Amino acid sequence: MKRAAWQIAVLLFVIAIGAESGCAPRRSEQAKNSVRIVAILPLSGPNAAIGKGMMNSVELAIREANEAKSLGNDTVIELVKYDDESKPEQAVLLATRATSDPKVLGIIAHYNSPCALAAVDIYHRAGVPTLIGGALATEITEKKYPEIFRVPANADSQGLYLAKYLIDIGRYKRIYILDDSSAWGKSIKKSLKKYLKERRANIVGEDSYHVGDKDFSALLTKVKALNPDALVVCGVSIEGGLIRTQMVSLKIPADFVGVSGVCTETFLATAGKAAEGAKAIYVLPPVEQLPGGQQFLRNYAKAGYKDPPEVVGILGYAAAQVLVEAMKRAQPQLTRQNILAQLRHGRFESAVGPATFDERGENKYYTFAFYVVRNGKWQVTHVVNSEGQIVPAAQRR
Amino acid sequence: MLGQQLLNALMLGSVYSALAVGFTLFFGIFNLINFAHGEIYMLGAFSALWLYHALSLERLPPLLALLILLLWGMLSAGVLGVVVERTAFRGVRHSPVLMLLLRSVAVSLILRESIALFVPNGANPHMFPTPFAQTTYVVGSTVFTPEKILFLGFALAMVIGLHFWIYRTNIGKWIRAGSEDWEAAQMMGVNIGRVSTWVFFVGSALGGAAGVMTGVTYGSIIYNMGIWAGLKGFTAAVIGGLGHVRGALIGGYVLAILEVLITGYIPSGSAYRDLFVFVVLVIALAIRNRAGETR
Repeated sequence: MKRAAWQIAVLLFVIAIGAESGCAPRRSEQAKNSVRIVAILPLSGPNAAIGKGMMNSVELAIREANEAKSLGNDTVIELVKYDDESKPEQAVLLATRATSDPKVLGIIAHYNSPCALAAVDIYHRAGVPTLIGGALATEITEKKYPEIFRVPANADSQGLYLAKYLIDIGRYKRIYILDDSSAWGKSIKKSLKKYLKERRANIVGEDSYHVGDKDFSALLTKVKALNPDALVVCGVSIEGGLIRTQMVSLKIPADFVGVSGVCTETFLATAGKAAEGAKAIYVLPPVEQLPGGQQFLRNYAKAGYKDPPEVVGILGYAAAQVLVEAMKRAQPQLTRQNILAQLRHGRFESAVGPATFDERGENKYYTFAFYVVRNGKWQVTHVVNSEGQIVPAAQRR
Repeated sequence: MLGQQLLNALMLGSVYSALAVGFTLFFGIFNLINFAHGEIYMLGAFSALWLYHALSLERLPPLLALLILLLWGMLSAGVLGVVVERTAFRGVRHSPVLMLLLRSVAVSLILRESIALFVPNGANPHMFPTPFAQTTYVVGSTVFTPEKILFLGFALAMVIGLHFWIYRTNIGKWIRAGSEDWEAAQMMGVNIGRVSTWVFFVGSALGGAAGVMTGVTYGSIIYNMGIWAGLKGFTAAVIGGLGHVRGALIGGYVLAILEVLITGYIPSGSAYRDLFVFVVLVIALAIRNRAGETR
């Protein structure tokens, strides 16, 4: 009996050691000093493809920083990868685990708004600089935590520009709005409605569905009877694709306009041929047209990743660039507080353009682009220029 | 709009009914609430998807491809159902209801997570082939698609077939006898093993058919699709009075009509649809309980 207890104790100890060494990358061994950045993204689950593309891009940025010896000759940045599975409960666990490691000086986190919303309190309490890569719900920065920064534009700005687009460019007279009941969908719908109402646009109806729903036929039949000329879907790819397919098979003549969560390859794959003609707003112009876009794509291809970077990849890359630059400026005192001070007051250059953060932690320099599906691909039609006007995109061939 | 909504409800109802029959058969014979049934539904769809790519069914005429998918989905789900019965439920038939329930939850988790972990890209959505692509027919203001017509035909065949099976065959007689009084039926010479195999085969095959219908209609399947489908199918079976095949068929359509009505005719109704559905489940369970007490 006693012997069995001993054996179990030894076994547990071995497992604990194994688990500990499992999360510490080996290649740091030669370096005298190493600091850690944790990236928490969905590597499995419904957004796995996007998460992998983003994770690879973060890794690429950090690998480049290490090659350029950004933090000097003896300091190496280690990247620790966590998979939040798009689940808030998982995000909380991983956020706690990441922030409790004193070597962790920065976090790049979350594609899904519910995950980010669940975890921001933890980053705040631990005082870890956190760059939000893809989660866009306005509420994430609502508490004005000094540790949270976001490179892409939030849902509120997106609602503003989407409203402008619907009214000034699309000239839609009868708008129907759907949301997916998630933190993201509700956040963007709230802002969109606010700005549409300010401009006195005619919203003929609104409703919600749930992430995971497959059958939208009853909902869309109701929409069809209201005869809208635009159906705005505030949600993400899979349901967006299913809604698009079912609206085409129900012969609803309205334009499909998706928010940024819809403007993905997954949408195209889900909707298939029905995707043709669907419109969407996105937080970036095509990657090739971004300041560091061409180079990013070249380097990504050279790095030999199996999965494509996806549209959001470059946002992960940019977030990592900003974080590394802030760490570089914080030297020689490489602490969480010093990095935070740099992030709060500095101006950074990244692959998606400049970044300066306001008191909420939102990037003052943001942009939007508008896309339509032609020949099975998202093609840019309009962009937001530096004066904040929506203008036709320059035709590039 | 009414015609279209009716068609929507019939389509959704066919899926729910096909699922509810399984729940009701398992409960009627074994007092088993089989939560793994939703996973059988999911696996029916996944196995059909596998066959489609393995045999490159896109070369075949759409109707033939669809029939092959449906039959294969049923066959594979049916066989899997029997395997589950042999491994997880046989021999524990006399154990407490709670134990059976727990076993079914365990089987459900094992099947679901196996797909997520061991199928390449298993945790991601998989595009399901839609052989008819976007072909549609319009009658008045109602839009039909070929697969909807086919599936409604299938649902009709299912209703007639089940009726025949339950009321006109020996197995059906045994099932009815078994669900009335198991021990008495056994004493009269009912072969418990055969009944059990048949019930699991047919119940699971219909679940598999529902999975294929879902895949073809909506064009995408995912490893966790069985959770909601299972809950809906179970709800339909409860509405119809667990244990009664005819009730389950009707329950599926009742549930679908309720869902469509609430989504289609109540402003912002879609947001409250599932809430409403489970309120109905609670009421149905309460009525059933009361009926059970007075019996």
